Amino acid sequence: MEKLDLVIAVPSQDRDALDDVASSVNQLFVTESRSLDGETVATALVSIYVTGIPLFRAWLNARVAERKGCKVTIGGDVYQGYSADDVVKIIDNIESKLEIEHKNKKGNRKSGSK
Amino acid sequence: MIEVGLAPDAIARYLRATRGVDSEYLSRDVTALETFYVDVLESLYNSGLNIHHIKLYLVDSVRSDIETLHHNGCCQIIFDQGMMDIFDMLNHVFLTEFPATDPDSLPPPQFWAHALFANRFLARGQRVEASIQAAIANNYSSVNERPDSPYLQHGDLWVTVQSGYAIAHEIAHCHLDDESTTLARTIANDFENKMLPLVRRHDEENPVDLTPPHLHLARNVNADLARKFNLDLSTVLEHFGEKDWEMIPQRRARTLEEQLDVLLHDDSNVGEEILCDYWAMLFTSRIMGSSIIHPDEALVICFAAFLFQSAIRYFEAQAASFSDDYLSLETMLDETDEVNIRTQFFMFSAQIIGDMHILHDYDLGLISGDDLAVTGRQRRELLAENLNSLNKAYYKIVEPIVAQGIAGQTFLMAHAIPADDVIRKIASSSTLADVVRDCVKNY
Repeated sequence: MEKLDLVIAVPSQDRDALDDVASSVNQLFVTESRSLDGETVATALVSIYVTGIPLFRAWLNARVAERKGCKVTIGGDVYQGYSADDVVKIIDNIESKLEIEHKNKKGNRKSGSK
Repeated sequence: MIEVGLAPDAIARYLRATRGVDSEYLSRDVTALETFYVDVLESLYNSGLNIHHIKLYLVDSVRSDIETLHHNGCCQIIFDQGMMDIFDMLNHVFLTEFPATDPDSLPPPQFWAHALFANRFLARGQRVEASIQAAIANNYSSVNERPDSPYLQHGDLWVTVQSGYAIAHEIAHCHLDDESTTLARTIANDFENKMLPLVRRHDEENPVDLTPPHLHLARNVNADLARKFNLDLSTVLEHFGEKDWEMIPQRRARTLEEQLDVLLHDDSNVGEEILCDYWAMLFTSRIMGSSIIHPDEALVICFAAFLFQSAIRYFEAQAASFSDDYLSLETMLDETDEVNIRTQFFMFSAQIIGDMHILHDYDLGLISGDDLAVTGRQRRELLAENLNSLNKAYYKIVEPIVAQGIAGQTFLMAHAIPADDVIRKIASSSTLADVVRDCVKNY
């Protein structure tokens, strides 16, 4: 099954929230990340599969409902997850990238079988 | 080796997820930077400090930052070469444009500022705002030729020293986390014996100013914007809400010694930042200064790097406030205060380290005993003059844009450039990162 790597960042004090997301994705590591402005955030590198999308969407929506938000980075593109619209954008992007990945792999298999 | 291709799998995947799959292809020669990094670690190792938990990864993307991951006792420093492009652009701005600007006038927002806004907007994922800023930047660049400058001869050297300073600063953080006692004791000793006398003298010579400096500046910038777009000043003031500025409570003034005392003993991270500034400046000027550049010049270049990083932070904060609206004026002033105190501390530290360099040259026989007093005084004066000039340049060039703030950007976006189909097309394009990077590189 095709998967997509993405990075989720939340404020340091919300680090436990990254444990909750683990049910929807394959969590590779959780780390503290300090940026140029000295701010430290909790960051998780995760792999998501198509089957995990509904649970991940629910996790994002729960963050929005709690007015906490998060930041999701996929292939160098940053998405702020602070509103319902943001969640739609993030999920759309994940779905389209997984679809492309799926098509590419299918294409490779076909060309490999010739 | 410190290339992403050789990074452990999880880190390589992290880098591709956060910076894009092409970020492992570097666009600049980093041989001097790699040598500097190895020299710093070797110097630490020879001093008995642990270096095995520190790793450096170089990448190249529009994110243009430096990030440190703390994971399982390791410090993974990620330096993004896009930051070198910003250093390069700001070196040009400071070293070519500023001297030609009338020192009594406020420089209008130039396209470098829009290029930097485009970069920080995109780094935060705000593609439409990044597209608008890039369009404004390109509009300026089509009418302004990049000025010739003596800086061009040494540009790569300056950028290398500045990048080295940024990396050394992060290495210092890694050590303050793990081995605070060794490093903190050394720095505390310098602080007590060398820094405090300078700070006290500064306080005696500079009584505390109770006037909020931003109010006057904000009015000037608004008037400047009104002139620029041929608008009535009252319209601009209404849009910006000048009353907000007037309502700023007078902030409790402290002497520099009181401020430093609070910063170094409270739980905020400002004290740690100050210590890391000092340490990074010491190591960068000592290592680069013994190989590729005069140590006092290295100090000035480090100061420029510090100021540029402050500018990046300001622009980033304003880009954040554009979408999140969380950055209050009070918060912005807190950040300004932080930058001010770090700047003052940086300049004092540079003088102390400059004196160390003079004694070092004396020990090596580069300065004779007879010449020590004269040469030392001349070098001190030259260093102080260069640091002060850079600091003044920063306030002339960057502060008006900071004071104009996000309100100014909102105004520009609402009135100067309509978010039309062209902008939306650029925003949704996969080449937006290239467009924004070109804005920065083309200055």
